[in-house]
Amino acid sequence: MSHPYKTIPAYQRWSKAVAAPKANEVDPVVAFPYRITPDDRIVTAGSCFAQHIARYLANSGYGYYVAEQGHPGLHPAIREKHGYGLFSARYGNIYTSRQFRQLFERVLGTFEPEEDVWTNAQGRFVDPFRPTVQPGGFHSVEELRADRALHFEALRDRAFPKAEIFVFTLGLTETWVSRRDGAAFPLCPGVEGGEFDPERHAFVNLTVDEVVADMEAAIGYLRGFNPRARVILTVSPVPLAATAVDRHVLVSTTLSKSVLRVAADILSRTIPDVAYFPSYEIITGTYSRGAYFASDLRSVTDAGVDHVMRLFFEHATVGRAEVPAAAPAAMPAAAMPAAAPSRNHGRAKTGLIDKARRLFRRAAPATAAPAAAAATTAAATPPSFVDRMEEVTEAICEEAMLDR
Amino acid sequence: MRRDLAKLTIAGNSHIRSVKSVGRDSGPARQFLWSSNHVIDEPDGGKRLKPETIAKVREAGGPIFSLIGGNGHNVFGLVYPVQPFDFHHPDHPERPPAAGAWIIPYEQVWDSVMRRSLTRINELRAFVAAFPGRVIHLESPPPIPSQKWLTAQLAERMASAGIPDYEVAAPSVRYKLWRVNSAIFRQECARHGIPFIPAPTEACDAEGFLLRRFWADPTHANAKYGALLLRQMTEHLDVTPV
Repeated sequence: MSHPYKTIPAYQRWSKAVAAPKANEVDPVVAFPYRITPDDRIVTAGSCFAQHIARYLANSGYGYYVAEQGHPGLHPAIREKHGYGLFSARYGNIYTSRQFRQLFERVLGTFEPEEDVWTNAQGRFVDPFRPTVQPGGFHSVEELRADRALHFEALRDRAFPKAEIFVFTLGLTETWVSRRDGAAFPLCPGVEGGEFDPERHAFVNLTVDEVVADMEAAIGYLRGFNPRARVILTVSPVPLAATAVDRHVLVSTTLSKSVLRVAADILSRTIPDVAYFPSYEIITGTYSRGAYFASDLRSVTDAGVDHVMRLFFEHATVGRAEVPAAAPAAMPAAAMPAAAPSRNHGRAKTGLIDKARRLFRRAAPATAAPAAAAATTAAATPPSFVDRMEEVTEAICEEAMLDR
Repeated sequence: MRRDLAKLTIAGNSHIRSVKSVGRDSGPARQFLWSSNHVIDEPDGGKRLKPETIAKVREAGGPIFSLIGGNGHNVFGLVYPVQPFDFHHPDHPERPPAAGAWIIPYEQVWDSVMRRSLTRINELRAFVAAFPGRVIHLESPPPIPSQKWLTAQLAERMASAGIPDYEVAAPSVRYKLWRVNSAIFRQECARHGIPFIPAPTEACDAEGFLLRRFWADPTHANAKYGALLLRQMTEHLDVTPV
């Protein structure tokens, strides 16, 4: 007797594809619709799991594009501390589809949230839409707005129009919005700044339809900048740190991730050149028996990220089947989504930047533009302009002390 | 301490030259210590004084005036690093960033100057740890206002460093960077409960820059300035015996 299951390939059968292989050999990707080349410019955004992807890409020789690197005079360690290079721009974690859609609308100037500055416990100023990018907060509203202008410029002039591959990790459905204009905040007001006010702030748990609509709009905006941009969607496997719904956090996590996973499936089936990469399944699949989560059952282990990225390079890229060496450390859950903060970079006129780069190249042929901070090791970093100024200053100091 | 019974120790780096250049017969007896030659690196990145330095300071008996550091701001911003920038200094709203400038957030400026000052801070800490209650820190000299003079002074050095195209930072930027550097040292002094003596006002113009007659080179003041520092030291001891 014949039936459709008789002829299915092994990867369609649980016993063969999930139960039988060694855990680290389970491969749920099977096929990926296109291959990234080393020439493709890859932009990353989304929840904290996207940081892992960014770090591996930065180490891989593929074109991880950091459109916002901070002032070229900043030392790589300072860039890293201040969140440059963590993603392709200094937007911090973008947890929800609503936040992602509104980012485009804010950059395009079609949406200007009313509540656009918070203060923190130290009396400093916080950008409600990237509340943790500036450690300690900004010292003035003017400074905050100036930095935001650089951020928007980096997105409008570089990240969005130049993205050939846009990797976006969907993180959460639970979010807090302004009751006045619907502005979606990455963190609940009051967590990293601002004051929670039930009269002004409302909880929203996005539905599948809402996530799909937000992402359709966002991808539409992206393709307004670059019609050829291809999108890779992933769903963050990191559970909610806390739920605002009066039910068990595990139930909320399952609902949230399910909504995102369904939305990603709809988007990848209905929009051309939008692909889903199953990092969520690789990390959370029962075949690993929970081994890809750290002891807090939220943080993803190095082994889990390695597995994801090995399959990513194997299926989604050309010419490379190995995970790059020097894999980054697992990210602590404390730096991850929901109510937990993240970390996370500025630029001016393009003409000035080009002029500066030319100048810098003339001055230091081997140095070139500052590398993506997260990927750079001190040992590999050639002397920066400021390093060389240190030599000049020291020479002046030495001359001053010739008679010592 | 009675000044006639003990010798001052003046510890620091290049800024001690201004005091060292003051005639020996002027002011109290003193010894000079090039601080980086008197510390030992600790495994944790910190520093401690060499035993022979401790003995030397003990023998002198007097207080330790620190002119340690004071050029971290110049390393970062005497010349614009690659590209011009400006910043909002929270304590100097009267000096807003220039229109159209690339604004670096204050915390990043602070971290940048701190990064270039940390070695010196550790030297200061080594003296404070070895001689608690005996260290007094003096602020580094204010910046020189003239971009033209600085540009000419730096030309040869920058060329030999392989940086032929450079732009001396705007006076306002350099002033604010100096204030950052001073705030870093002032904070460090407060942390250890040691006095921080501001730059002598008579050396400054109405805008807070170093007056022409006190210039030595792009980042240092001269012996006339050193004489003012020496006077500040003796005045401090008159008011606050160590």
